[in-house]
Amino acid sequence: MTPSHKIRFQALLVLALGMFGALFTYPKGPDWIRKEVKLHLGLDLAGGAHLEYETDLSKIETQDRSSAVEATRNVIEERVNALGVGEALVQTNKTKEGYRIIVELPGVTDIKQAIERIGDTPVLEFKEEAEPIPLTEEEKFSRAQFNKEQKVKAENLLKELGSATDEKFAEKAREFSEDLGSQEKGGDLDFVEKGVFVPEFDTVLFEKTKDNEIYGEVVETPFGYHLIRRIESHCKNKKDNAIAPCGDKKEGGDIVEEVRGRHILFRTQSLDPKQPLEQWKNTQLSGEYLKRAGVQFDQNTGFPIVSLEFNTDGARLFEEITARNVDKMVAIFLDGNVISAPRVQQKITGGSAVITGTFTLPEAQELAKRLNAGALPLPISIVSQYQVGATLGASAVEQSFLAGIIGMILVVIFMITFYRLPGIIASVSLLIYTLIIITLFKLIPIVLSLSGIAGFIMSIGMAVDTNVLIFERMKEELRAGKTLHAAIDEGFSRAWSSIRDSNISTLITAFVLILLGESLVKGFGITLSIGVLISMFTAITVSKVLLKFIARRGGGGGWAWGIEKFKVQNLSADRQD
Amino acid sequence: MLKFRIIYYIFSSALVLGSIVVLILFGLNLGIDFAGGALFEITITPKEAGNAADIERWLETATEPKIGEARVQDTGTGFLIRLRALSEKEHGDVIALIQNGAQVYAKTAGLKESVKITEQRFESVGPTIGKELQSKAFLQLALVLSGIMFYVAWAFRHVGKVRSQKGFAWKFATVAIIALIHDVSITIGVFAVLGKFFDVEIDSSFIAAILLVLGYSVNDTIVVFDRIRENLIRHRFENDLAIIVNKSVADTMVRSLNTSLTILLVLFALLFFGGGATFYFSLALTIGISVGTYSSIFLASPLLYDWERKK
Repeated sequence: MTPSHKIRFQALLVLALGMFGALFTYPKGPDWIRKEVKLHLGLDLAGGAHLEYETDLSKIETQDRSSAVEATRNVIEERVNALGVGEALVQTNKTKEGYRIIVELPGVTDIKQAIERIGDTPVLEFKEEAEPIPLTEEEKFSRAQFNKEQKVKAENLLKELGSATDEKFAEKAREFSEDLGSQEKGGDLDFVEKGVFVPEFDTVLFEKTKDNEIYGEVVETPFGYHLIRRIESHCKNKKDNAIAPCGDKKEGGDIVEEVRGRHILFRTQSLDPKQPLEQWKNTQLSGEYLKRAGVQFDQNTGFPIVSLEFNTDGARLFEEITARNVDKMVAIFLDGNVISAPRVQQKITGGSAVITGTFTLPEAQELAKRLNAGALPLPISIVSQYQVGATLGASAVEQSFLAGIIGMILVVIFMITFYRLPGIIASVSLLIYTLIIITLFKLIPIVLSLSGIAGFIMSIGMAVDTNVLIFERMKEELRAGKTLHAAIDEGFSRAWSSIRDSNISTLITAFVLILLGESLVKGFGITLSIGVLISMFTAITVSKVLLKFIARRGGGGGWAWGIEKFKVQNLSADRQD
Repeated sequence: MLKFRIIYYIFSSALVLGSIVVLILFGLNLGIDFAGGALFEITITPKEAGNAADIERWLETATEPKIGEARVQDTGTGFLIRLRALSEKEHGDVIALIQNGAQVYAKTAGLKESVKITEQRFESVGPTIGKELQSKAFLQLALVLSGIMFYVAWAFRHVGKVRSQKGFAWKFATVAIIALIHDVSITIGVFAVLGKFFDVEIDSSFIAAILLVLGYSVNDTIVVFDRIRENLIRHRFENDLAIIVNKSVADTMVRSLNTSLTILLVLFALLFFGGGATFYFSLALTIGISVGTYSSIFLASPLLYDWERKK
């Protein structure tokens, strides 16, 4: 092959490379490649979530830590895959303080659901009824003290009232009574029949007082101290609620006496054991002791039920719990809510239980599945997260794309005005560079984040740097009187050391970014380094082939190459080699 | 060129000192990547159902969960909300708080439409992660700087033979690094001012920009140094270093300017058409690379000359 043929062949290769790149850059990509050809956008552009979890290793022995983290990662990966997110990534990251698990979910729409699923820890607990809590001595003392004071108040008021009128009593009731139900009405309790109130109160109202009379003593009931005034009384027929003569009254008959009274209440505090704040108290039995859960059908009702089978320790605990709670309720809690609270009939041995509830079949299946999957091997918590909707990314991609095109046009205009014919060649190289890069991004594929795209756009400005260095050198050589061909060769070989050194310094930066950068910055480092490497190829090889190809065809006058005129006759010089 | 170097020295020192002073005075306005915290980007439809001050009030007066300081910024299309770091549960609570606030507001204002909150972005970074990123950023800076320094020293390792002096290559490397520190400190200084007066935040993309300034600015310096090396060999009988340095700078001036110009053209396109997301990233690069071009012509070569001359 003569040199002339060789250059022509190389020029053809370059053309083919450009065509190849164009084929893949065109949005759809060629059909014959059985693979979807598209740009892969990072989650900051496509929408999605980046979640960083910290693992709690405090309960794990040092030597087991990495395997515990790995097991947790596997469970999370299973759960993420179950979400049906494409291209999800779950990885572990060792830091100074411990292990982190990083979950990337590009394109996930329901991030909230995803987070819930990942951290899902079905907490199954068995609880028994809580016992009343006895009062402490101090509490007893202070309550007794309080009650004493209330009694004094009641007695003083009774004295003050003497045989006061009904109006006066009502007024005082409004002022002092602590019975919120009747206070507003002046202590009026309306007509009631015997047996409605507590016996102490009833006796006074029905037997110890007459109409229009204040009872002469303070009456103590479990509620507190009462002052009682009987207002009026009548008898009525229970059948039709009509007033009836009291003479017809008899034991067990339809005619009963009703009394209307007022009272003023001074509340006391009970000295009995307190009712517990929580109805349920924990037992040791929990989901930890579960061997497996399954779905069965209730033989009587046909409803789906969830069957539980405990391991040996669990069976023992369950037996103890049921033994001490015969005739009491035992509640089954899931995630802090009661799902069933059956009454224990007898001690249950053998370690199996069922959860009856109003489950539908899918609900029961889901519950059994969750219980079987159990908790994550390690407790995890989100330490950092990044969620972005798809709309935000879409406009950013469009804008970056526009900026890239404008930037490229500016660079092309600059290169052609400044370097003329070589400038055109640099522009062609730049175009080929862009096509190759986009093809690589699609085929490797490289996931593009916003900063990755910015890095790519910047690389357009950097790719021509190599051309600038070469062309400047060429001009120098031409001015020094070299032939065009020699000047091209010299330009390329002499500029090489600067090109190499400056590109390597950029690669050092890109390498550090890839090594230590956050996932989004890492993308920037990757696009940058690919850009640098490819630009060295296009700006050196592609430009050189094209330059020589043109130089061989005469290459125009000195003007086209940015110098006054060639000092030697280029054509003849070239034809000789 | 070397004649006026005292002016360049004063100019550069003033800029670097100024940057250090503003850095000490203002500090850096750290974004949530580094400081920890949460960032929401939301839109409210209809837009009248809330404004920045309202949202701030709804969040700051909330007791369950207690949120503390909220900074809300109207972006025209929506709102940027900055809070302390939130758990996933609190994240939901905050959205509910805004939803409630807007609903109540819409009712009292007599708006007919139902209020809808769309969350476009949410980031939350715990304080430990922030600390980690900070130290990582310093590590990255140190790695890039030392990587470049060693590489330059290695690339110019043969230059010592020409001047028959040991350690000449290290002078090249050290001067290149001084120029880089100059470029980076001025860029950081500008962002300290922007942070103070325009609330511009430093995030991990800013660190990427700074690292790229380091990797890219050194290119021009390398081109000049490369020429100095070549001229030292070519004119080995020329004893006046000043002539060689001056000639080298003059020889490479056009290409230094042109390489920077092409990247600046692209950066301008990103600044003006690239949208808000990459604006400050591009701005940091524009400043850093412009200063870097200046320093490789007017600072690096004179420094190399002065250091070498004294020997």
